[in-house]
Amino acid sequence: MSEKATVWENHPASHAEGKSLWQDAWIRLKKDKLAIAALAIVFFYSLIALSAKFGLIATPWDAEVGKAYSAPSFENTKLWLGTDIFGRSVFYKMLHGTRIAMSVGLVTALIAIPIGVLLGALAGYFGGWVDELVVWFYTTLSSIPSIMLLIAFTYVLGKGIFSVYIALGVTSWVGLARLIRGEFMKHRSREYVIAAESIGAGHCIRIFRHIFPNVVHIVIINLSLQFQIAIKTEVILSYLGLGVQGQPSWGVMIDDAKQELARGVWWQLSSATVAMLFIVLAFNILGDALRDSLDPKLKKG
Amino acid sequence: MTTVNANPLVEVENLVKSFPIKGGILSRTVASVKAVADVSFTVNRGETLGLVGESGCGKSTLGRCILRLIEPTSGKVKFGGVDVTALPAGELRRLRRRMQIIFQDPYASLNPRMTVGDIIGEPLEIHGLYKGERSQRIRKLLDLCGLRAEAMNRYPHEFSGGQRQRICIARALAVEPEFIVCDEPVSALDVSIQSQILNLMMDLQEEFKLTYLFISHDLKVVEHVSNKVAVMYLGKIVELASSEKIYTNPQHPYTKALLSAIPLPNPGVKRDRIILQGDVPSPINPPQGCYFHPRCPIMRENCKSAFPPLVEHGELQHVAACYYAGEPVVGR
Amino acid sequence: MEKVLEVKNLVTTFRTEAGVLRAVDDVSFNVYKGKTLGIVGESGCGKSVTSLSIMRLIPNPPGEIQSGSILYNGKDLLKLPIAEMRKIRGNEISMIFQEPMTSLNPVFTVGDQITEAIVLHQKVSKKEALDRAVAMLKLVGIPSPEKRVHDYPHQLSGGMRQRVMIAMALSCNPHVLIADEPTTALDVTIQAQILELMKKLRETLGMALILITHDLGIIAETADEVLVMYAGKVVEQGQVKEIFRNAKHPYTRGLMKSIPTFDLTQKHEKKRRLETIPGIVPSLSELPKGCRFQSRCPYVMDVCRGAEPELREVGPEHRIACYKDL
Repeated sequence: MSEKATVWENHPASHAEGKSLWQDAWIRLKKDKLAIAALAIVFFYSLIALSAKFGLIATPWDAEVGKAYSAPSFENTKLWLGTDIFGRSVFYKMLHGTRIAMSVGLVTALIAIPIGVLLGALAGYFGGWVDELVVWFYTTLSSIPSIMLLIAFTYVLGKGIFSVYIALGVTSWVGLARLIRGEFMKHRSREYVIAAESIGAGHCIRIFRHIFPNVVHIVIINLSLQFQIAIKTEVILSYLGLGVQGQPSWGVMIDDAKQELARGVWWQLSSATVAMLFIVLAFNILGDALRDSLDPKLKKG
Repeated sequence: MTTVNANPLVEVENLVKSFPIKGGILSRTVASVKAVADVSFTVNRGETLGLVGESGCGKSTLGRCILRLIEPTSGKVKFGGVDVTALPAGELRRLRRRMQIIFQDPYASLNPRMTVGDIIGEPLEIHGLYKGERSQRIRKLLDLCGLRAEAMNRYPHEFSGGQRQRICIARALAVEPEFIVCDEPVSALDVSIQSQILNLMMDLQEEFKLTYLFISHDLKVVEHVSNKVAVMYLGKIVELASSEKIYTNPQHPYTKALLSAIPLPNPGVKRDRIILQGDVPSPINPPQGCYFHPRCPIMRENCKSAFPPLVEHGELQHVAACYYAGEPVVGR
Repeated sequence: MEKVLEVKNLVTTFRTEAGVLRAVDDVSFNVYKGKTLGIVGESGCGKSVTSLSIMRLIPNPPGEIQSGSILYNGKDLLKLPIAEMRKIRGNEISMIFQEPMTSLNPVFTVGDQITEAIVLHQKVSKKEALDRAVAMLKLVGIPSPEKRVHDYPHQLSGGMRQRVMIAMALSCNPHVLIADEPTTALDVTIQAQILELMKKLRETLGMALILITHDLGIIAETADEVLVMYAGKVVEQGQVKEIFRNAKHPYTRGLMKSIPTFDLTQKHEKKRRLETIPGIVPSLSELPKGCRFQSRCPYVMDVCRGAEPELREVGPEHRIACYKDL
């Protein structure tokens, strides 16, 4: 009994609730100033996107606010970034472009993540023919140049933002599935999973309750990287004329700028590029920071 | 002794586990490794069978085959008279309540994302035990294993190695098992913590009449906890007897060499040390005849032809797989 | 006896989130030619950091050697310029690590790795160095060394790799060899081979050996002098026979009693319970005031909670850091 008592004494008893690895990760992330700045940028863009969506700011974006191609001026918020060929506010268009960009990132991630996680998990956990099937499927898919696939999708589904969602969603899960498959392969023979088996846990419990929470950080890291790829791809598709129709996306703005630059109209191109630059950069920094703070391998035992 | 009216709980008969080795472009099976090669023994209720051997001898695989955490290639494992190897998946899962395992690495065997309470409560939930009084049960288990109830809301990484091993023991005990495979349970722990865990395990054995299969490479620890000891070499049991007989009167030259190789904390005491030459051969291509003959100090011609049977030498209940068991082995 | 290495008041710290921790706290000892000093202790006691400090291989940051001196043939290693230190490292003082698996570079042959050290430190041709490598492999008992010298590490077994590590460490005839848990990753029968080999080499080459281990059995059978460390401090120091027959520090005593042991020469009677040291080693960030062992000590007194006990003489060449006279 005296032995037991002393074991207790050495317990870290300073706080009643335990700290999970998530809380630990958050504490580490908070110390990274750059990551917090990136997080703030992402938050700020999301706020703009939401406000634009509900018409709280920058409405209507397609009203004529001045002469065609007027240069940026500070007399009016609408004219901060000048006007386009129809005399519409470039600043408003840029804000609305944020809405399109963020929604493309979010929706494609929502489509791609479940597919990638599920297929990767099944392949990595069961191995054997399940694995071979999944691997065959995604290697076949990824052997087609993705821009061709995207173009094919938009032709089949018609142009527009909906096609962009679907096209990006069903093509961008391959990388995630590969990562998840590898992690599941590593984890399925770990002792904590065997321990779960030995207490009678079935496959479902082992996959979703035990292994998944230990690899979910990969999904989060992947999310922040995929988000910016989706944003960039949307811009490229729209530039090629295959993307968003009748709405002010950054890609459409850059496409418009093709004809404008020769006339010295630089503001449309610059505002779309700069808007994109910050969010892509923020997601990149955030992805790296999340990897550093979430990856349990970097934590000492 | 106890063997007169023995009450076997676990009976292992001719157990074999071979892993295929794939090669070539078509990944065909080109060879196989017999990790466990035709092993038979019984463990009686309330007893501890120690299983010793060097790394790669198949002792961990054997432990996992008995629980069917690895499917054995052939042979039978009977648990309380029931043939475990023939059970369908559903019934096997129900049987898991009665047999548990504790692993070597308490860092790897606890899910880092679950609280200690969830970890210990999970087996209760899976088997539908202690409904409505689970948290009392978890507290009781923590207390039994020398941990405070507050541990429930904490995560494994907040504990030291010894405390984590206590959590693993509590999880194994949760479903009131009869049999626990202990796979090197103290090897990863510091010396002063080892003895705490060993004491705990022996107290629990007495309190709950547990049966242990205690796997370890540490002969000192095995001697301390076991009633019977089996010595494995390259997937085969080469000697099996009561702990006392193995340690005071070893028959097989390999057992003798193992025992003489343990450094003992008695400076100045001169011992006859048998230094074996060479390494353990690869289990992919075990030597012809007796697997031990290339390293054996008393090897003779006929050792190269057939593997010696595991038979009694001199004493009852003391078996060794050696044609020249009991012959003196000259140390240096 | 000829003193080769003299460590005086060594303090090595690590900067962590919990503050600056003293991993090695005021440690002093001597190493003599042809003798073995055993350093024993549990994980986190500072035994490995001590050896890395001697080699000046403490990663900085977060680690730093704060104070003290390490005199080797009269020179203070801590004051040497790094280029000078490199000449000593691997040449006059070498080290063997615990993991033979990860201490060898998998993309170079065994011969490449041994000759690298020789060519680096001694003015010999590549050809001569290779001959020397073969000779070293032969010395450490590797069969057909002429062939093995061209093998890659993965082609060798664990015991063979540790032999290669020893051959590498010995290739420049060092005066001091530091072996950090050299046999922990190996099986008992292989461990016996390696320990036997190290003993033989120490005698034939006349070097000094610092053997770091957690295994009291290994210490008893190989060391001449013993240093017992606990939470960064030396708690007991003495000749091996004296320590094992007449341990005076409660920690050393507890450690010795807590290992299950058997004597093959006698019929053993079974004692069911092992004696234990209750509790766990305190974290370096939460050390109590006074003696570090107080929370686990069965003899704890009021004075133990005051000032930290200094090492004091309790017998010939036998010192302990404890107020109690056991």
